Amino acid sequence: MKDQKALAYANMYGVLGALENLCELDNKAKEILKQLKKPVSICFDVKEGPCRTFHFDQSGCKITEGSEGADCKMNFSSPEKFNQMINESKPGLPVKGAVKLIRFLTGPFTALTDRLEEVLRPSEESLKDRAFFEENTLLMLYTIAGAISGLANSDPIAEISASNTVDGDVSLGIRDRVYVTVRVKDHHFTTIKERAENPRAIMEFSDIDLASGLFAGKVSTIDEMCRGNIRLSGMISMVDNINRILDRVSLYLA
Amino acid sequence: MSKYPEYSHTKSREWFDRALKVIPSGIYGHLGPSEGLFLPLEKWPLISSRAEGTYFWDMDGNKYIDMMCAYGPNVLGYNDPEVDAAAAEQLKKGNCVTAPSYKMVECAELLTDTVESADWAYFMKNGTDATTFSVLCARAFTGKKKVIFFKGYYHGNDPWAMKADYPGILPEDVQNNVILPWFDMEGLERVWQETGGDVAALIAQPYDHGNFYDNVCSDKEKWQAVRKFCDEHGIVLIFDDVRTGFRLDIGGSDRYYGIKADIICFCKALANGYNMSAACGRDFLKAAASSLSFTGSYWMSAVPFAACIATIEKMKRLNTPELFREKGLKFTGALKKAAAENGFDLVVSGEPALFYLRIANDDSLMLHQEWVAECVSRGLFITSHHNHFINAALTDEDIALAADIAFDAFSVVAKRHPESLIKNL
Repeated sequence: MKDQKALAYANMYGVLGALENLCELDNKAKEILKQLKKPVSICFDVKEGPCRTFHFDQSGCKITEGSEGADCKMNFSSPEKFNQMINESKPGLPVKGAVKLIRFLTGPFTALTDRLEEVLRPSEESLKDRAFFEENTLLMLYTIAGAISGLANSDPIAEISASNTVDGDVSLGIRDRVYVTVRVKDHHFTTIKERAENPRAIMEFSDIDLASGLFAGKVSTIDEMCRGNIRLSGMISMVDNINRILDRVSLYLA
Repeated sequence: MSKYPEYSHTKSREWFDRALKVIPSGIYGHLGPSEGLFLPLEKWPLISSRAEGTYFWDMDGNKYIDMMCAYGPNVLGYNDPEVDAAAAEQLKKGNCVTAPSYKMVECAELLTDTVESADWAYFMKNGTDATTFSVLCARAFTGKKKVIFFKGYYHGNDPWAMKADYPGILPEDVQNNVILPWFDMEGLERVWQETGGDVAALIAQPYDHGNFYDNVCSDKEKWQAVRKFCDEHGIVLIFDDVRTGFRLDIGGSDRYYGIKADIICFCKALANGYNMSAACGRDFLKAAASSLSFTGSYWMSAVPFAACIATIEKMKRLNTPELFREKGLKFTGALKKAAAENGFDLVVSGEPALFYLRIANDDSLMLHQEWVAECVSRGLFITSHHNHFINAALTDEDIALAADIAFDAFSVVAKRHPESLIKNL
């Protein structure tokens, strides 16, 4: 059972959160950004839900919490309305910089989110291109990592896992490729898209193919742990809890 | 140069790979790589070929001093001759029979004579069966819903005993569970008020022997306060003695803490590895126990009863709780010494019979995991996350060997991590 508020957090921190990585990794996204004549900062403010600002310029995308620095803003009267924007492209209510907002939303933003969907929901055929396959897997990792924190802080079931998680940094990554950090403080989760300097626990996939299989649900996490293809170390109770939240991520973002 | 060369596990790994093809996770649960935290996998034996006394051998012929004792069932030593002889003799007479064997009656009589709080015994197969039975019994007797747990609890794998975020568990499965910090007397009173007194039972282990943290022993005063609270409110007090049973006190861990539980659950040490568990209860709950629809195909098999009788009689003769305390202190003392001589501080917690270990100043447990892996790969089987178990077959020579392997493993880790030595912190 999906909770609409939790889904809004998963969408904001997981799906839209991957925009910053898309803009860094994907050549087509970089081409779209080159069309920007001026930087644009757009805030999505969800009533009873998340509020984040996405700052776009020709060099990429950065995301900040809250609405500070936003030159256009879109309000959503409920998490459901925000989720409709993500799933059905139904926009919210422009409350600031309406003209700029609509021009950006219908232009570059739509192009970027279309590209994001193309990469995150690829065809079997497109995955035969190794470079695209790898990009898809890396973006999946960023999306999942963002959604872990989004759900840990909002989904009633994931909150139980969060309530049993001790403080510290958990390093999640694909060996020799990419790492993210899930930081836990007083049972609140924050995803940092950098490698942890002093992780209290580590979960590392042996290679990108394994990571892809896990993200696609084609192989089992526990099975691969038992095969030694997932390196675990440190405070494993933290990893156990994150694994339980990962089950929720699968439910919400499937 | 390491005094104890690392084992290789080629054949064990081949068997494990075969297992992976036909068994989910190869070995699921606490004996497997995932829940058993085999970090890293290649250091662990995975599959055994045989066991005897305090040792087991893997498929490559490597020998291990086993301080996990199959996570508790090995209480007298693997293949104890007295227990095995009693079981073998019973096997010739009959095991799983339409009319249960007289051994069941003898076993129940022995348990009620041995366990101070027990007026009756009800038999099943696993610890989970015993705890589930106890909660059903408490609800049947009181007609109430809620069950109070102490934080960090583990009472088996049935849905009611798990948490809502576990795979396959519904929020409805655990909606009547109330979790409180250990011995939170104000919390108990608050729960009683907030639920309008709808509390059937309080279930707890004798002390907090959870995983990944120092175990915290209880005391008589705290348990007596809980007993008083339960008496005043008509709450059934269930002692989950599955892990600790007969290791702290032959008469039950409730006696060890100066109280009488209403129901006490046993499993691991009950029959030295023969498969059975039991819930023992007080007279006022006997009718409620009789009313339950709760049985299983093998629950009255006679061979485990014969093994149980032989096990309890031998445990009494040896006074295992005293023996385990003495051996536990000796064992952990030797390991602490080995740690100190290599520049580490090994923290020991919990009851000596079920000691828990960790290296100090290592809040990620990574250093500790590394040391544990080096011990296991040299023949001392311990874990990094769970309490350990003493068995009666453990000798002073075994302890000396274990300490020597531990010393060797510490020296390997010390060379690798000089920055972690106490003098360099």
